[in-house]
Amino acid sequence: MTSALLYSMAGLALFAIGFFGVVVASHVMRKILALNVMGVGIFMFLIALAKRNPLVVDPLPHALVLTGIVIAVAGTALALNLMVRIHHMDQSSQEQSK
Amino acid sequence: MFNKLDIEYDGPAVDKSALSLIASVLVVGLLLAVTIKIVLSDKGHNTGLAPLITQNIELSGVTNPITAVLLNFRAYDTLLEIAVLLVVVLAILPTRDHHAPFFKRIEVSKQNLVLLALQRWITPAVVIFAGYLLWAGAHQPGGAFQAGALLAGASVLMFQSDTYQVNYTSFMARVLLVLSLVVFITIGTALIWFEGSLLTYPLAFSGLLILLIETCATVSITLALASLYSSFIASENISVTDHKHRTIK
Repeated sequence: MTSALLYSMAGLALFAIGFFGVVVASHVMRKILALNVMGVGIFMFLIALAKRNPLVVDPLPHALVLTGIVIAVAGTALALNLMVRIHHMDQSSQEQSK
Repeated sequence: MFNKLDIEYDGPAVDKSALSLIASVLVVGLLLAVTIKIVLSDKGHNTGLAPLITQNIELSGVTNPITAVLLNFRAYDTLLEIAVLLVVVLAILPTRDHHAPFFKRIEVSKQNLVLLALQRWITPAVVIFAGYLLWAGAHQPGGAFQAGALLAGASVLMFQSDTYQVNYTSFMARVLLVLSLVVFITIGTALIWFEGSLLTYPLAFSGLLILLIETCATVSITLALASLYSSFIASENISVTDHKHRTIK
């Protein structure tokens, strides 16, 4: 059992938790959080596989993960903004129907 | 009639979470099998692209392999990443009053003293440390994104302590938001004339050009992340005014 295998399995476990959350959760906020957990699992997986050889670290997945983190933050912000906007639209339409 | 029956179906409910659990276990089991196969089959001899990167590191102008990949070997990815960040900011930023000043100091009224003191001590330190990270990115872990994230954290602190108000839709803010993309694209396309292909740095100036791009990227990333943070509060305010308009009608 190498450390690469251990950490990539931990990443997969995070991915599994996130995947389950995305499918099961009914609230959008929980879905967004679960998507983030999924993303973190994938980042961890990539970084673990970058050090399959115990002596050499592959810098390419590290750069990929750095890019991915920024994109994940941007996507989360967009999703949360849309969620807030939908929530307000729901509220105002409910008040109008009353 | 059947339609009505369909709608009013109240038989034994299908347990959705059990089905999802089975689905996720299947997906993860498949991934687990593939991972074990990948990791164990090459017996630790696979080094990926590491030898290629260490061989060509002298050509990149920096000594940190991750920065070399991000800003030189795969600079195209970083360019598109900055573009994605800008697109998200453009999608989120509400079209607010863009004649308001970029930077406004709020008079002391209901400020939290603890946050205020914290902000006074921490913000200058964060600015210095971000500058160091930006500079250190050339030869050790660090770079534009880390520095930008730190500065965005400092601006969140300033936002929370209610001392300063930044108008992210002002002309100045817009210029700073697109600064890195403009500089990146200008340098990248200008290099077609000098070097013959997009984003191929000349060997003598590559370190300098990377530092220039990273400095602009730090400014833009800071503003982008801070504006994403402030957009939640802004969207609350906007919906309140919308609501008022609706009640007047």
